Amino acid sequence: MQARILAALVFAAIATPLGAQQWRTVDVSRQLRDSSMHDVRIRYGAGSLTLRPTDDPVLFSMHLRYDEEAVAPVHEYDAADRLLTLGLTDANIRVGRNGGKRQLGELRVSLSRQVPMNLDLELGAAEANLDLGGLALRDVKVATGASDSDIRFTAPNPTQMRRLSVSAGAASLDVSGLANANVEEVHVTGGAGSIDLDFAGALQRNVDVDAEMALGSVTVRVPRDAGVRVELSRFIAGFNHFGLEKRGDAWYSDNWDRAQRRMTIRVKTVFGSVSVVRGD
Amino acid sequence: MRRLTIGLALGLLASLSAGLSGRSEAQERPAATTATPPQASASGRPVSLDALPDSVRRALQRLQDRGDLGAIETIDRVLQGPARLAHGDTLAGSLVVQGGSLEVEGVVRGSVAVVGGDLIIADGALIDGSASAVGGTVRVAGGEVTGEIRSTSADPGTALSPVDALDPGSVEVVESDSAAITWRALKLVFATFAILMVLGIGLLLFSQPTFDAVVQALEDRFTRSFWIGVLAQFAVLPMLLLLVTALAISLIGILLIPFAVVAYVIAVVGLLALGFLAAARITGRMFGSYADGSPRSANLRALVLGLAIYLVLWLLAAATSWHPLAGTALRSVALAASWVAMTVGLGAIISAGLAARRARSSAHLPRPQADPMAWQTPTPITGVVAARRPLSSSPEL
Repeated sequence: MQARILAALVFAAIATPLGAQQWRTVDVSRQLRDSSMHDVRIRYGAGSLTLRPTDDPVLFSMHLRYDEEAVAPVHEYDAADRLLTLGLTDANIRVGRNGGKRQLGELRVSLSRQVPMNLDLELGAAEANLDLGGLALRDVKVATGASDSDIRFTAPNPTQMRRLSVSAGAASLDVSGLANANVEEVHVTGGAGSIDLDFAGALQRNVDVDAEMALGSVTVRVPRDAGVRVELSRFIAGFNHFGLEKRGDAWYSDNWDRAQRRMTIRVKTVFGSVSVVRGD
Repeated sequence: MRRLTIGLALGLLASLSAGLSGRSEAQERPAATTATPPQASASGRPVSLDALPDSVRRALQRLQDRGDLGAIETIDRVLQGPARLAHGDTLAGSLVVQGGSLEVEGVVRGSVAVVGGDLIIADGALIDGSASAVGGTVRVAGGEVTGEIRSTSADPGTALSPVDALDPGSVEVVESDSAAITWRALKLVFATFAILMVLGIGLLLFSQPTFDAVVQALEDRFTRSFWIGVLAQFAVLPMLLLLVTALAISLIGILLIPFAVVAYVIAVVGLLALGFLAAARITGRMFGSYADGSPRSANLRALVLGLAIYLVLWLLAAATSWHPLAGTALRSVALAASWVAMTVGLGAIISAGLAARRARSSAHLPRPQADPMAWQTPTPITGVVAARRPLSSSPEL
């Protein structure tokens, strides 16, 4: 009989509705008054994040929908240090339900194309959709936990990007249009999942790519006219390539010696597969 | 229409408050104002913070505390909207407009916040500070804002929102808040009793003998059950500590402590629920007549009636939850009745359990061998037989 009572109580506990949620929406922006170099930090735990460039006369605009019982919005601007921090406080993440539908927060950020910036994104379990095309980016750092992230460079970066650093936990990460990023170094670290780096477009400089993946697949899509050199360190991982030839410890494309732009790709992986694909 | 009426009533109240405070509008204008005050309609005149209703003042404070009013640190001026700052006018200090929109064509040397309306910044206007709208939007139509531009809104139906509290129809909102609280309390009561009803029916269907034993113990030993229940409640925490200590002493058991605590809590809640159901069944039996029908149907009807009696108590408490005094009093009554029911029920469970254990242990004791001559009355010295040997009832073939 006790077992039955326990079962009923467990059922009752499950059936008990979640605590009340207070969903609020805040729209914040700041007019553009200083177009010198800025540091932009975005912190967002769970929900949907969209980032895109804007030509409006604003430094940024942010649309945030959040549960005020669980988190608080962050939108701080330090004019002296030119530091902009956006997102949510790192409080407990709550997932509500509305009519049976999963309810998560939403953050939409637009950043000015006119302001050069270092961008630092720290995402938890957020689903990120980042269009960085046309932003003047000097240094980009993206850290994401267990989430699907889609990073696109849909237009050329007017500033030379020193480094693009992406670290993903257990995630699916797609980075496309990397030739537009105008980047010197790309560092990608993944725990488990898949990483797809697409350098479609015309490379504007030589690029060094470092990719580390413990478990999963790493795919690097390179431009047709770029010379490619691959250094591979793997334990149990397959290597698929478009016809690279091995010289010494590295693999080279046939146009390596004569190519105007070169890509050096270093991949470390334990289990999984590494693919280097030549684009159109 | 109702909102309009309430808004007018609030306006009249505000006028009355301002009149009673003995200060004119001119006196209420801060000395920091450097130019013509904003041209405001009748509802857009300046109001001192003291003249605002307490609920509005508290809501403003809450909004300010959490930054919804932007960079405003001290509220220098409050206007009732709609209001307008004309081109060429300059206002110094922070400005809050409540209950309507604000159109800025001039210059504000400070931060501006509008609560319950839109903030429109016209071409050529300047706000030297932040521009915020709570429950509305900030629309920049060519003007300049040196600080942050912020619009905040709450989802429809959000209860107790300070945005709602600052709405012109705040009286209406207070009513809807009370209604929301009451409705939430009623839903909670119904949900709880529905779960108890399901539990009770389950017990009647699948474990009636145990349930009957508890009810019987409750009927036979009510007072004793009550005191046993009280003692058991006092023993709940020490027993838990004892359990945790015992697990901690055995090193392997340390890992089991979280599970043991959860299981212990579930068990205690389960015992209390079972006890309450037994008490509800007794209560129902006291107030009903169950001469006709099968015993199981009578038990079910008694349980339903008993639960309904407690339900009514809690419903009354929930229905009056909007009223501080009546709500507290009725909640206390319902709580006391339910506590007594749970306590005697818990005591009855323990009592019934002890009785069952005693019965089991006595059943296991070896029975004394019957004396084959015990049927005989001891033969007196005179030698007269006093009884006859019993005959078998079955016919002998």
